Amino acid sequence: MQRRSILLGSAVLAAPRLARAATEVTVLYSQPGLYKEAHETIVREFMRRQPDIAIRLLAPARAYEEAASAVLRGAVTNSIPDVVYNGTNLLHLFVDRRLAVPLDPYIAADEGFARDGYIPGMLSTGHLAGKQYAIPFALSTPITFYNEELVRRAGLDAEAPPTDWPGTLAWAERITALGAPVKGIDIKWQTTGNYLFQALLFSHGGKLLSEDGKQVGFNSPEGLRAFQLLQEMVVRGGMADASAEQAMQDFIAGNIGMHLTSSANLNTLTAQIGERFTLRTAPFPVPRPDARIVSGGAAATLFARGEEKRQAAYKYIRFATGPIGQTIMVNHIGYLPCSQVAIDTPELLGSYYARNRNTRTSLSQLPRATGWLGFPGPNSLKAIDAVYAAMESVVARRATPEQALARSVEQVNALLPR
Amino acid sequence: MPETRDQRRMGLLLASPAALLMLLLQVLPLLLVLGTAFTDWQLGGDPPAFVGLENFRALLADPDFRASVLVTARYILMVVPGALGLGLGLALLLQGCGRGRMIYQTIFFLPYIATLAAMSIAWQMLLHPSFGMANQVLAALGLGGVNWLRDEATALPVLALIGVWHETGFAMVFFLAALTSVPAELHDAARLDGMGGGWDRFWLVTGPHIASIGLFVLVVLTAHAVMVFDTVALLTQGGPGNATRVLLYVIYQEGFSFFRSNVAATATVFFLAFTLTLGVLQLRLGRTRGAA
Repeated sequence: MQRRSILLGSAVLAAPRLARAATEVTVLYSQPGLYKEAHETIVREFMRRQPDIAIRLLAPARAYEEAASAVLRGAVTNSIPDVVYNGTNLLHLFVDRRLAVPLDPYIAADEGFARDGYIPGMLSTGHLAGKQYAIPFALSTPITFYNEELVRRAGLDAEAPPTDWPGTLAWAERITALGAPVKGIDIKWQTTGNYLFQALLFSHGGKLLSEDGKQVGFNSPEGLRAFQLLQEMVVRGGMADASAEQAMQDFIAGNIGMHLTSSANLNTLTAQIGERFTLRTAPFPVPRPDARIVSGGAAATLFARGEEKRQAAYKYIRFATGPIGQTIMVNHIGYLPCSQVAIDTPELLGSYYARNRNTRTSLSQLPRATGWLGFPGPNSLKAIDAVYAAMESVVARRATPEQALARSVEQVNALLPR
Repeated sequence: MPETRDQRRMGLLLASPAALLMLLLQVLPLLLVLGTAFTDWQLGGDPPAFVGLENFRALLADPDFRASVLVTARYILMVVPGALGLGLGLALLLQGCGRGRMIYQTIFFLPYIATLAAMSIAWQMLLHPSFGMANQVLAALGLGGVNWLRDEATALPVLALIGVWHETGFAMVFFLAALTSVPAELHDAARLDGMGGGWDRFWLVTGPHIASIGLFVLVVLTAHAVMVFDTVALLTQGGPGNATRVLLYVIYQEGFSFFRSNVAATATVFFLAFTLTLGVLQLRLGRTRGAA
C-alpha cells in the first residue's frame, strides 16, 4: 500500500517533465577531475534558462583520446553523443570520417553570435577544411612559469623576465650555474599532440604542412630552429632528460628555474607549490613581439542527427562557450575563455583577471593565438608520435637537431596521405 | 557404460549455453580481428576494403614493430629464468623451513596478488631520479644516481626486475606443491644407497619429480611475460625511445592512441599466434602431468 503511494507520488512528480517532452541532448566531456564542476554548473544554468532542452552529461572520458575513441566507437554503433568536447588537435579525425557537423549554417542564422565577441584567433582552433567544426570551450597557450626565488638567487631581475630566446637561454644558464640540483629550464615537450613543438615552430613562422597538405611544412629553417632550441635548452640551460611527471615534480620541489608548459597547468602548479616559493608567469619566449602562439584545448563539436536535436545542441554549445558559460568555466578551472565580452565585463571575468596577475599572462597572448594542428589522414596520430620520438632523441642527446629534423620529416612524409 | 542417445542429447543441451557464449564472446571477436587484419578499416571510418597482406607487409617493414618484438623477447628472457630460478630456490628453502613457513610463503606470494598497477606507482616513487630510495641509497654510498626509467640501458631491465618480483611468488607456490608430492621414502632410499649430499639428491630424486611442473611453470611464466602491459603503460609508456615498447603496448597504442584499427588487428594476429602456441603447449603439458 505504502509502496504504491510512493510510486504514485513519483509518477505525479515526473508527469510535468514528461508532458513537456523536452529535447534531450547528450554531452560527453573528458578529464572529470578538472572539468566536472564547471560542466555541471553550466548545464544547470542552461536548463534553468531553457526548460525545453534536457542536457544529459554522459559519464566523462578520462582524456581527449578516450573521448575521441568513444566518438569513433559510436560511429560504428550509431550512438555518438550529440555534443562532444574534443581536443582541438584531434578534430580532423572526425572531419576526415565525415562525422562532425559543420556549424557554419547555425552561426550564420544566429544573430547573437557577433554580439558575444568570440575571439577570432580562438575560433580558428575549431576551423578545419574551410569550415567551423567546433567552438572552443576552454583553451590554453604555452607560457613560462618561473621560480622567483631561484631567479633572484641567480642575481636576475624577477620583474623583467626575458621575452626572447637569447634572453631566456641566458637566464637558464645563470640559474643552472647555482649548482646541482638546480636546473635552469625545462620545456614540457611531451605534451599531447606535439603542442610545444608547434609552439616553437609557429612562433618562428614555421608551418606544419605544405600548401597542398601532402608533405610536411617544417622541413625548413624554422623547423630546424625548433629542434635547435630544444638542444640549446639541454646543453646550455641544464634541461634534464626526464619524463614530464618527473620534470613537473622537480619544478614543484623548487629545483627548476623556468618551466615552459601549457597555461592549463596554472591551477595545479599554484596549488601544489603552495608556500614553497613564489610562482610567477611570463609570456612564452618568441623571436618577435607579433609572433604566433599556438592555442589548444577542448572545443565543443556537434554530432547530433536530426535537425531538432542539432538546433537544441547548438543552443547549448552557444551557452557553454558564450559569456556566462565561459565565466563559469574560468572561475572553476582557469583556462582561457573564448569570449571577449566575458573578459571585458567586470561582473563576469573582468575582476577575476584584475585580482590574479599570473592568470593575465596567457590572456595577454590571446590576440596572437593560432590553431593547434593535427596531421591529416589515417596515420595522423602515428605521425605525432614520430615527431615526439625526434624531440626525445634531441633531449636524450642521441641525435643532432639536423638528424632529428631529417628523420621526422622522412617519417611523417611517409605517413601522410598521398 | 555406453552412453544412450538421450544422455548424449542431454549433454549437448547442457553444454550449449556455455558453447554459445564462447562462440559469441571469444570465437566471433577473434574472427573479426582476423578479418580486420586484411582490410584498411579504421574505427569510425568508411566501410572496410580488402587489402590482402598489405597490413602484414607494412607491419613487418615498420622498425617500431620489429623493435617491439625484440623488446618483448628480451623481457621474456630476463623475467622467465629469473622468476623460475628464484621461485624454485625459495620453494626449496621454505620446504626445509619448519616454523614460520606460512608467514614466509605469504610474504613471498603477496607481490603476485597485489595489483601490479598499484604497485607500479610504488616502484615509480622508489625509482624517482631525485627523491627515490634507489638513488638516495646510491648517493649515500657516494655513487651517482641513475634515471632508471628514462635511461635506455636500465629501463627494460628495471621493468624485468619488477616482473620477476611479481612472478616469483607464483612460481614458488607451484614448486612448493610439487615438492610436497615427492615421496619421503625416495629420499630415505637414496640416502641408504649412499647419496649423502643434498645436491645429488636434488638432481636425482627431487629434480625428475618436479621437472614436469617446472616445464608447466615455464610455459605459464612465458605467457605472463609476453602479456606484460601494466608496468609499461604506467612507468615508461614504451620509452625511452623504443626501449620498453613491448608487443602488447604497441597493439594498445595502434588501436587506442593512433586509432589504426587495422594495424592493431594485424599486430594482434602475430600476438595471438604466439600465445596460442603457448596455450597448446600448456594444455599438452597439463595432460602429461595429469597422466603421470
